[in-house]
Amino acid sequence: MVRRLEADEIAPTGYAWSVQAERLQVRAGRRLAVAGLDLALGNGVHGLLGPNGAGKTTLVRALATVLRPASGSLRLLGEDVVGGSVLRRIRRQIGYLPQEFGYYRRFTVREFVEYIAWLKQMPPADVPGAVQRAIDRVGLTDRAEDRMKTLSGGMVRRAGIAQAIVNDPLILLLDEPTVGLDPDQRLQFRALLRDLAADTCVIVATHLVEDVAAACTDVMLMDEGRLVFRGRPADLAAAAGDATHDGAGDSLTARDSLAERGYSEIMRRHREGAAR
Amino acid sequence: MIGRIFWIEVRRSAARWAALVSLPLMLFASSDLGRGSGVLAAGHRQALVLFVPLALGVGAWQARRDRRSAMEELLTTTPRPVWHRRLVTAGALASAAIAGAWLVYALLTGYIGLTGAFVSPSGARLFGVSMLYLVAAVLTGLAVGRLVPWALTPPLLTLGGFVLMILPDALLPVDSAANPLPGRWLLIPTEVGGVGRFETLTAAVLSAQAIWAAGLVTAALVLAVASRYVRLAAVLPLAASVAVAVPLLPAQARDAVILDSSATRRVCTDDAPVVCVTAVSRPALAELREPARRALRILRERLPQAPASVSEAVFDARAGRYLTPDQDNVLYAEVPTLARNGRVAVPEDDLVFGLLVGAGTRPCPFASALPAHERARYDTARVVAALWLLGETPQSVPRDPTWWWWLPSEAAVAAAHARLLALPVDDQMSRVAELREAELVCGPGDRLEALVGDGV
Amino acid sequence: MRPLLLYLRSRHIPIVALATTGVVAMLVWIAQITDHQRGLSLVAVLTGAVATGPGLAGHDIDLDRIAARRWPVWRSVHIAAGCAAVIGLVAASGLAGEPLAPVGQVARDAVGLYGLVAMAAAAFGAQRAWVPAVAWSLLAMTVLPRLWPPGEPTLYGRIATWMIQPYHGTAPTVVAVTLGVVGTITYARWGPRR
Repeated sequence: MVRRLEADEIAPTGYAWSVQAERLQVRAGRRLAVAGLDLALGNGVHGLLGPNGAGKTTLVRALATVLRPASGSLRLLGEDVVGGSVLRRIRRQIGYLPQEFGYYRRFTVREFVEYIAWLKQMPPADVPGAVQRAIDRVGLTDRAEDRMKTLSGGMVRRAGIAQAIVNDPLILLLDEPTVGLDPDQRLQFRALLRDLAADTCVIVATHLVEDVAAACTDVMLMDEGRLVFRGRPADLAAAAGDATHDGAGDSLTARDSLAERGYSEIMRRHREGAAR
Repeated sequence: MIGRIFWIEVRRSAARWAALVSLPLMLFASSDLGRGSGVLAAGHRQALVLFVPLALGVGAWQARRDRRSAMEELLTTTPRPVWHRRLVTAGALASAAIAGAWLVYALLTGYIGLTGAFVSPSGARLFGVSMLYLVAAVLTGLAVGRLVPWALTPPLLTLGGFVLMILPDALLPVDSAANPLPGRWLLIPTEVGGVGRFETLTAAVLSAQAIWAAGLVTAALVLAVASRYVRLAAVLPLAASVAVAVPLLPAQARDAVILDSSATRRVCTDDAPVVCVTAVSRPALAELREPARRALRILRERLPQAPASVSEAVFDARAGRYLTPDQDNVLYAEVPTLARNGRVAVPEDDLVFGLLVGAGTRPCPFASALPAHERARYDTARVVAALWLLGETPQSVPRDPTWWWWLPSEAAVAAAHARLLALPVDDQMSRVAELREAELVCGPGDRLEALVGDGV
Repeated sequence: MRPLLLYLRSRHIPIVALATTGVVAMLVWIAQITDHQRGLSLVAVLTGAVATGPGLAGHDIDLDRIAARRWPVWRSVHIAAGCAAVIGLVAASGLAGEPLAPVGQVARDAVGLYGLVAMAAAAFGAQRAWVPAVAWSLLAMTVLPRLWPPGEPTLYGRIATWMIQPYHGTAPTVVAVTLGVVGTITYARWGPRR
């Protein structure tokens, strides 16, 4: 069933980039987890990679408006992220799947997604159709009336994706979305991402480089709160070809994927450069 | 949309437990329904010492749901103001609490009606005020659980609420004529002013309690739903309700109780001799009929001027006297031997004895203020009159301590009885008739002296 | 020694012990200004029992379960130590004046209630372990006595309201000991649920 488009959805947007950050700094506790980041993201699937503690989750949280930036500027959908009605307007267009996804165990899948749709202030008439569409897109149609506590880990994750996309957000933030998904479901998920790439700014923070390589339109690498690399997945794989493997302690083999090897190479280069 | 969300919350939150909180009221069903739904409502009010802590626990448990489910981070990214969803949750819980309580009350009242006992409209009003207290408890639980989101909050709040509810009972000074209880104490949730089965609270007192409870509900709702600084506004409804409610209360608590006219309405047998009881005692009418008529027959045989019908006596505590009977010439007695199930609790012979005490009269109001020694004399005279009418010996006086605890000692009764029997037969009859006359108008004087002669 | 300290910290026992002591002190003070001595001793024992509840499960139940510890021993000792602690605490209130209740009564109530909490933790999880103990005790203190003639409870009555009966009766003691033993064994064997 085709959703009816509102006039303001097909009107040209008033902003250049969905996500625009300049010298962004965000604290996680007392640590400065994001230390000066410049970012300009439009529609498409943007993969966010990086070692543990690089600040990926903190950046995603800041973009989801969970955390306030410590300094620098952050503009989402062309508006500065300040409190009040602006924040509410922005949040209506955001979808977020946290890394530690909590849910009401007793709610059924449909009820949970409906509840989130209500919380996102979707127009009431649109909600049932949008909920059904979201559940279908993640492949949970036959489990829609089951309680969340009866779902396996992968299905819970998919329900989390469903609640993130129910309001057809303009900015979609997914933190480790493929955890627990079996390979078939991961393929379906990548197809979903490609589907969304046309009119949504999707940011996927993950460790699974293969997901990034297969589905993303561009890749960002983070290390210690800064952006280290930005480019296309092909550039990531190409970096593997330049790898000089006569460094000591090298654990790469020919079976590791090109993308993973490229990632590892770029990080190594960055750290060597920083050490000099 | 909000209706659907509300319904989801009712089904999926702790609302079901809020509804079940009132289930223990069914325990009253085993033995307490015979005296009518007014007594049930009063009993429920006093049992708030149980229901309020349970409701507090349910509310506090619900308040931790977001933390328990690790939903807090996701919820902060949603645009809808926080108080919207808190309000829906609070509404779901409160509605379930009310629905559960009314359902149980309706079931029990229906059963009461089916068994022919007294269904009291004022009882429903009393129960309505109890509902407000229950809702206030659930919302307070939500509020406290929000403000103090520890794992131990639900159980500690339940126990703390229980201690708080039993404290007034311990701290309350005993209501006596010399030291009357001030009317302010009626704002305590469990306080019903000691209403008996014929009584209810005045409309003013009920309104005052309702307003105060509504203030509690509003304040608790504000605390449970509003965000940081708006919470301070919770003081306003509390202060306003106190300001409006306190002036409505009487100066003394005892003035809050009036006779319930629907409870004291007369229900009589169709055939003669007529036996009338109050609507409350109606379940006992069938069992009372024959013993009452037997007592009438005995009075007719033994006394010159005997009553022609039997009527139940009702004491108006506020006016300090009994309601006047329908006609002048009645056997007007209290029916104190009703068990909790509304039935007559004593054997028929004991019942006839009880009806004939004082030659078929109820005790005069001044007797309760007599010192113990004089009270014993008063009671002895009335018991001896009954024995004389029945033609029995003092050994046959009933002994069951549950109902006959007030009887004077057997020795005193035996002595007075012997002295009465020593008099000439005509004298005996006239003295018993005089006792009856004196008791009917409640004149002054020592009854025992008048009955058995001089110098006892 | 170190494993014991880590265990105590992981189950938040120091804070719980402090909170329980504070609450019991407050109850003793309230008992001294009112008359409900026996009711308040039961509330004090209940406080200890419910405070133990959340500590009966660690942060990750499955992780605990596969650890190579002799859990039945640890769990039994946990229950027994908590029970003994609250008995000692309430009995110590006797130092500040009149004791809340005879030690025999406190001991019986504690054994039974702690067993009930342990059983509930095994059946419903540590977070909900407090519910049966509190609900049953509140019912027994308020409305259950209505089911029997006042002052003369039948055998079933004494079993149903065992916490409020005087401690020299046999039926309540049997109930308490049964609950204590069965509850501790259940919890020691199966551990907390979910």
